[in-house]
Amino acid sequence: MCLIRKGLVIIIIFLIAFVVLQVLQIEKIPDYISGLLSPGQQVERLKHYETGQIKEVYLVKGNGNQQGFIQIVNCPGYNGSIEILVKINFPEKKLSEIRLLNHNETPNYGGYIEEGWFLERFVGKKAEQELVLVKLSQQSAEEVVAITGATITSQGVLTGVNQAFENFNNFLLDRL
Amino acid sequence: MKMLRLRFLPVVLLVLMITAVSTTVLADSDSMIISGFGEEIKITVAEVKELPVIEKTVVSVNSAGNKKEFTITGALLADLLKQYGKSQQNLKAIRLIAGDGYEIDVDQSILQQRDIIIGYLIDGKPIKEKYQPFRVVIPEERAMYWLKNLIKIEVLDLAETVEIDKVYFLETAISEVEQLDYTYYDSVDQAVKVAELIEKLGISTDLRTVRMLASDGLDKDEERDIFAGGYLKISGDYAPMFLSPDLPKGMFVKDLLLFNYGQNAICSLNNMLKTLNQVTVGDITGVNIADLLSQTGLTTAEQYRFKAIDGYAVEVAATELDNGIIYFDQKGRVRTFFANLPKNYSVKYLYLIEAVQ
Repeated sequence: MCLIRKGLVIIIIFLIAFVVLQVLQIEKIPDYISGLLSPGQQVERLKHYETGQIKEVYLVKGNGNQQGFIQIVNCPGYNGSIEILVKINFPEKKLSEIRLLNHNETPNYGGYIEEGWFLERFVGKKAEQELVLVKLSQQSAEEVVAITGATITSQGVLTGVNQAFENFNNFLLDRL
Repeated sequence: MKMLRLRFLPVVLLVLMITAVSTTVLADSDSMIISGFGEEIKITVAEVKELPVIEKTVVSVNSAGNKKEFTITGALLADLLKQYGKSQQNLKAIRLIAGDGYEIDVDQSILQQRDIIIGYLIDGKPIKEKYQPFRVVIPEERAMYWLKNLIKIEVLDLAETVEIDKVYFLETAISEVEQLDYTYYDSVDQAVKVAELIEKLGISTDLRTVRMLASDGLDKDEERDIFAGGYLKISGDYAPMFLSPDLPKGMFVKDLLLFNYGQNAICSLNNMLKTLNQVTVGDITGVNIADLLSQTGLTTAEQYRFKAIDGYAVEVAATELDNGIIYFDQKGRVRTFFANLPKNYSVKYLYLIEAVQ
């Protein structure tokens, strides 16, 4: 009888813990997010700011004043959706990291987004500026040159980055 | 027994809860047109499917050298044309046009020698929606002829031909034209606008097409207006290369040996040096002038005028061409050397050679 009671108590404790965890929304951080964090940094998921093509938003905290946001964005590609990760640092308000998570683009065309040099063209861009796709060569800071022969794919990624910038400027900055 | 089960219950619940937490977190394209037989003819997929079926396994090789094997099912263009009382063998040229603007001319030799398959199944399955209604495959020909999303076939008159009476040297000519940065994949190369180059050369043509000949033997006609709207990339990989950010990649032409614009041939000495046999006289290595002019198709004459970009010119008898060399000198200038002629026949910054009529 005593053992049954103890068992029930344990079950109740676990159930309460489960409910608390659900309420606090303590989540396991995906590897593609945790891999970007430096020692001492933590993230908090901000579901409230996830809207439209922006599928995940995380606030990066820790390491003194160095903060930022990581957003996972779905962009329209040539062969379906492209999923990218965009990290914007604060107070610099610049794109510090962009990664390709998923895509179905055709090799030898849009598939070139897998090669780092295209995504590198976004690094350091100011989040305050809307980026513009150009086809020949970069003439000003807000311009990004498309992949040769893959304009639709390039425009898709650029649109995704611009959405992340817009979310950052219009909503996320207020969160800091 | 009951106690034993209860003892494990918390563990089971714990596993269930962790799993629960984890899962919540981790979160009118069916036809084409044939024109050129008077009224345009609309051909539906259903109509092509009624023709004798041909199935062939082929390997496509794209411009990057990647190979892909697939089985195409469709009908022969020859059978389709028969329905309208026409013969593929008797056609002089056709133009295949895709929905994205890509187009390519198929000349008489291909029409006479090859099967042209108008495909509607790839590996037994319908063609992807964006590549419908048809995919063209011409076995034993380059993949550039294997159009996806074929929407039109234009029957053309015989490819336009014209006598060449001037040969320009691209490496000299581009020094007169503004050079722009052109980002080609991960590299920033230099390019010139074709329209500006043509204007600077002062050449014109009434012909509808421009012929491009590449170092690998690719011989391609392009619509004059499309060509004039493009760029010539003059540095980096595959230079000189015809391309444009507004054209499908399949329309780019790498390693141009020359292009014909009306009665003019504009050639790349760099690629001529790679393609033709090189000759050496003393410390000069270049290409034999007679060989080069033969490659460009320059009309035969008794005298040829060699002109530098500054206007300096000499006239050379046809009999001396075989003793002449065109080469890049130590300063990178296009230059001539004639073994049997005085030094003043060594033209620096050679701009053009023309037949003196």
